Amino acid sequence: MKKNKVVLKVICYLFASAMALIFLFPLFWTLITSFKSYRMAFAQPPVFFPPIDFSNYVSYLSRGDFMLCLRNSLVVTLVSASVSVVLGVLAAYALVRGNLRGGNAMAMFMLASRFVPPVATVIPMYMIYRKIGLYDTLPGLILLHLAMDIPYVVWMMRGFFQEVPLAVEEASWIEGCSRVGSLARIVIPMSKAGLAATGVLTMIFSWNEFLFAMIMGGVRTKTLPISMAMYMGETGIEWHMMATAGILVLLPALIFSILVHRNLGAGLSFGAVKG
Amino acid sequence: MTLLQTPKKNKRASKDTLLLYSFLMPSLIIVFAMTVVPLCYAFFLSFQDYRLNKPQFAFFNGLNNYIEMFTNKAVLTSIGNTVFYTVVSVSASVVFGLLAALIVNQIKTGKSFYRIAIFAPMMLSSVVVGVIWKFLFNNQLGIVGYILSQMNIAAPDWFGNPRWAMASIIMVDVWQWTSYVFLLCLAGLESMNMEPVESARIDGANAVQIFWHIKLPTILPLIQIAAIFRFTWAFRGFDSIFTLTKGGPGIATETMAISIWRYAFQQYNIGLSSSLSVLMFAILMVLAMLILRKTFRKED
Repeated sequence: MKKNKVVLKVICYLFASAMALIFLFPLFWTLITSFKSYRMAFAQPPVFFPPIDFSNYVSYLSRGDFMLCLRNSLVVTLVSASVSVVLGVLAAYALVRGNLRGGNAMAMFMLASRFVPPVATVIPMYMIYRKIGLYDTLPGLILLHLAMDIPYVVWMMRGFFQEVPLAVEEASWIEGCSRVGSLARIVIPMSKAGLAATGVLTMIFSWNEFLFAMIMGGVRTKTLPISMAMYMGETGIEWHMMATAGILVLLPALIFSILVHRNLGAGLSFGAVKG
Repeated sequence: MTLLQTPKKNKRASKDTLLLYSFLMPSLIIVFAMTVVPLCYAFFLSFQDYRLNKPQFAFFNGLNNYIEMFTNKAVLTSIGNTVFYTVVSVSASVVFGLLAALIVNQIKTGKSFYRIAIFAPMMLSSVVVGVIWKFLFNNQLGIVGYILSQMNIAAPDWFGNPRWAMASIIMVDVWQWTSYVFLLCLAGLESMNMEPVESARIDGANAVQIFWHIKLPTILPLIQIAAIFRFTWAFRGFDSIFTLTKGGPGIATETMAISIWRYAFQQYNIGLSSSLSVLMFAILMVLAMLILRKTFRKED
């Protein structure tokens, strides 16, 4: 019996490690390629452990438009994540506690909009933007992000707010707290783990976003994923530089998601798992 | 009825309702303006012969775009590709994700490491994922080809051969999104009440029986949610396919999302592109209604 258990455990670790290898190896390979020179990236047999050398990073960072793309990516990510969290939290609260006329229909509408394919809206929006002068502007791009992020925040926070007992909030009203006061001092603190995961995931979605930026962005609003895709189109085979660009784009998203990794399951289940 | 339980005078209550509406309005207006408005516009455009490069000559052509959509062989191929891509990719990632979650849930030491390793891919930009795999699968220099050649297996032309190109884009999608199913299933397993499992074990149930009769029914709702969202994302998938093949070779890996982009921006045929958008939207809305009805029924 005991021997069986040990064997089972070993099998579990073997399987889990094999899977971890499949998921991590591409990232490892990209990382080491980013340390290689142009010539070394092509070497046969491939070099598995090149000396750690950041010169590709230095040269990528000093590329003409890198700073512009980084700035655009940061502005779009931070503005759309913070605005959508604030607006989404307010809307979710109103939907949960409001008992408003048509509230259910409005909740349905919000949630249904998560299913709208972005490619179906982005082409008409492109034509509208051309007409009203929002094409190739950061506010225009941010608006598209908001439409993607807000329903996500509403759906998530709605689930978390439903878990906060009404009685606690009522007690604070008796002591003279206002709506805004009880939201800020009770409801939000009680669901802060869920809020953190939601906020981080919103940032990651916006940071990674590609389709909107490709269709709505011209020279002025290029984001990092776009600069990477364009770089691939221009040079084709400069894999050491592509790997460098890839690491620069993926590292922030990875680090932030590791920070909240315990709550990610709840943050992605759209209310089915309570954090 | 929750509001009525709070001790408030009528006037204050209506002021309160007004406040709550004002919480809701900004979100509603933005989402309405950015989804309903463009969808209506797409619907309107889908009945026109509208060329992006000569909008002044646009005219209504009735159902022609829809007729073309269901008779044009290229469009039908792309619809077929989308269905194939979605079904294979979603089923594979559900199986692998569930399996990974069951295994990692058994692990005690180092669990966080495995969790992070397996969820990492879904946090990456699909463009980055596309570039990474294009590099790994590169014909002359790709590491995958090198490893296969060490094992005396001739690597196929991953993105050049139509069959392999479809298999490759599915593989990349499964690689990236198995993480999602894994995360949900693991969260479900971790929050599961272990008492039934323990008592079943005492009664002599084996691991397969425990999985089949206790664990699976408990996490089934999560698997459903994961599958529905995976379906939505794969069905409208654009980024990684665009980076990997742009729909090629020929139209072997062209999915509906790629077609919508190509008809609009390469062939300037906004009418046809819009009618495809309408079709895609309609299919996803049916799906949305299924899941939303379930969610709302549960709450009542």
